[in-house]
Amino acid sequence: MDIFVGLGTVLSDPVLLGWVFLAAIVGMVVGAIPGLTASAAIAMLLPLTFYMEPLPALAFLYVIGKSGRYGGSIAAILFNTPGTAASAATQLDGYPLARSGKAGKAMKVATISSVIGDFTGEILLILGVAWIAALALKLGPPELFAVYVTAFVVIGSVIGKSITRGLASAALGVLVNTIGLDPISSTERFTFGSFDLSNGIGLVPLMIGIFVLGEVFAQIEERGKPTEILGGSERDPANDQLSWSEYRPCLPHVARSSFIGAFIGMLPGLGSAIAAFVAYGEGKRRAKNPETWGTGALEGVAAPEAANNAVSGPSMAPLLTLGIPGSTIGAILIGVFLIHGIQIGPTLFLTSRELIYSLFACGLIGIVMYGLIGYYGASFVGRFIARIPMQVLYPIIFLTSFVAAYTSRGNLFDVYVMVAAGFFGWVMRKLDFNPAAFVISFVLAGGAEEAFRQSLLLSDNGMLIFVTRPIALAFLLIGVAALLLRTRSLRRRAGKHALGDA
Amino acid sequence: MFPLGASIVLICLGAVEVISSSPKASQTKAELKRNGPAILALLGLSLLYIWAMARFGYLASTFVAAPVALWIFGVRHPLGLLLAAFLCPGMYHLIFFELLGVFPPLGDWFDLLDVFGGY
Repeated sequence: MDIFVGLGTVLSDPVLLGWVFLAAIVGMVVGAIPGLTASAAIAMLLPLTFYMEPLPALAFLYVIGKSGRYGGSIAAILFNTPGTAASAATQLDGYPLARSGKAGKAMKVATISSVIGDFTGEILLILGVAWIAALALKLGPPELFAVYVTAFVVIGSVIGKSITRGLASAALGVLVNTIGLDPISSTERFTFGSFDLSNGIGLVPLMIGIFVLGEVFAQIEERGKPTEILGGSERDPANDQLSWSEYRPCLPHVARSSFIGAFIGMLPGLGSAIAAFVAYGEGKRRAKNPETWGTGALEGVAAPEAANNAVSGPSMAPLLTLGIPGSTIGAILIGVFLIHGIQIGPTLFLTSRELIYSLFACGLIGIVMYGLIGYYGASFVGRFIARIPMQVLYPIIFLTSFVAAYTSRGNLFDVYVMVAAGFFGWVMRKLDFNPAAFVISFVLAGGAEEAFRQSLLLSDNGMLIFVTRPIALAFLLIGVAALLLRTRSLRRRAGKHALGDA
Repeated sequence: MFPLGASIVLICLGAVEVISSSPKASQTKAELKRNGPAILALLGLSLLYIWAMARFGYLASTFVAAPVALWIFGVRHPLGLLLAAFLCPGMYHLIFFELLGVFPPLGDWFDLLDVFGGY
């Protein structure tokens, strides 16, 4: 019922609808620009939302995240460069379709599949989130700490190519979070006598640095490379149309992939890219025509697009119920909640129920908006982006990151933090470390430390409290199991490569 | 001490793996040789830009930083660089410091806003 109240609130507020509409366009354009992700756009726009009311601020950024995931497919199909990592799987069939003059058809399939996937994820979130929050209310500090540890292990080990580098990235995030004053004793930690450091490292400049300036550093290596757009001048209008008979074979793949994406979305840290590739692999395995996948099958566009958008809603579940961001976008949204004085976690559904369901309503309306804009205007967006000179766009983003970092607290020290984080983020990527794991762990570390210390205060047996409470132990075992499974899969992959080389 | 100890151990593990991955390291070195000067120039510009903001305020520092950033990214058109020098500080000042009402970073040594009488 709450969602209908939320829909009523949103639909009766034209200004709010305007923000959602703007977010749908901004997200799509940003997602379609190769190299620029929805996370980067959200990090850059985050300080602007400090001056807005909580609901428009959250809705604006939330819908940018949704339409940004979809926008990545435009670049994947037209430019053979995924706009976001999540649309890399779309590229496998999307670009061959564009080469055969069917770019318009591929983009329509991507749009419909994204909308269905996103709706599925959002509805599952709406139905399940209050139930998860009610369960989460029963967790005590030891259980919460075990959840945090599992999240660190999963985020560090599952994303990226190397477990040790991923875990090291996560650990580094924890370490950087400890800079500043001890939350209980107020003693200085790693401040080196600096007053600025005693306030700790700000979340907003760190994120702008990692996601925005880091990308500018990465793009300077790409400068001068031409971008080729397909599906432009010599296309046949008939190839832009999509018939029901063409889309019908995609539907089973879309349904399956939506649930795959929604399930992966609930697990912290896995994200859209993994969901898209799992759905593509599963779709190809079950397809009647697996030999055509990779050469321009419409189903090969539908499956990953449904999955990567289905991640969006459920990835909010751990954030809203436990305060644990399931994705980088979730980590950034924590900043908005904090700035507006909203305490996230299980009590959120008691204190801000109306706000949360209105946010979900904005998500549903945002999906409809980017679906309509994308269905009728994706080709135009693609051609518009092809005209933007990257050597002008990235310097503008560079300058914007400075003013955005300053705006967050009106402090030039934050701008230094942003530059350090940007360069450091670029170095991390070069060395195959994991900036996303670093940022998410940075966000998680405060809550984890609090839960850890509260647990020790509750405990008569020190650290044994984490293994004597069954739910805490179960979560810790899940973390260990995830680590072992990941190690096994990496070893298998290495073994296959070795056999292939022999 | 427990989380800190675990963090240091894991960072050491990461460092060990970086050292042991020599083929990737050589590839990275080649890329760095090619793009290193541009990256260092951008990093240098970033640091100088913040320093200049603290000394000369936002408008004057952005007046210089905008065309330099475009130059690093390969823009050589004089009119484009000149336009950036005037438009970027003006637009950012208008959006962030006028419309949003954020207090701008004022220069210790000199600030154009003193000349224009804004602050």
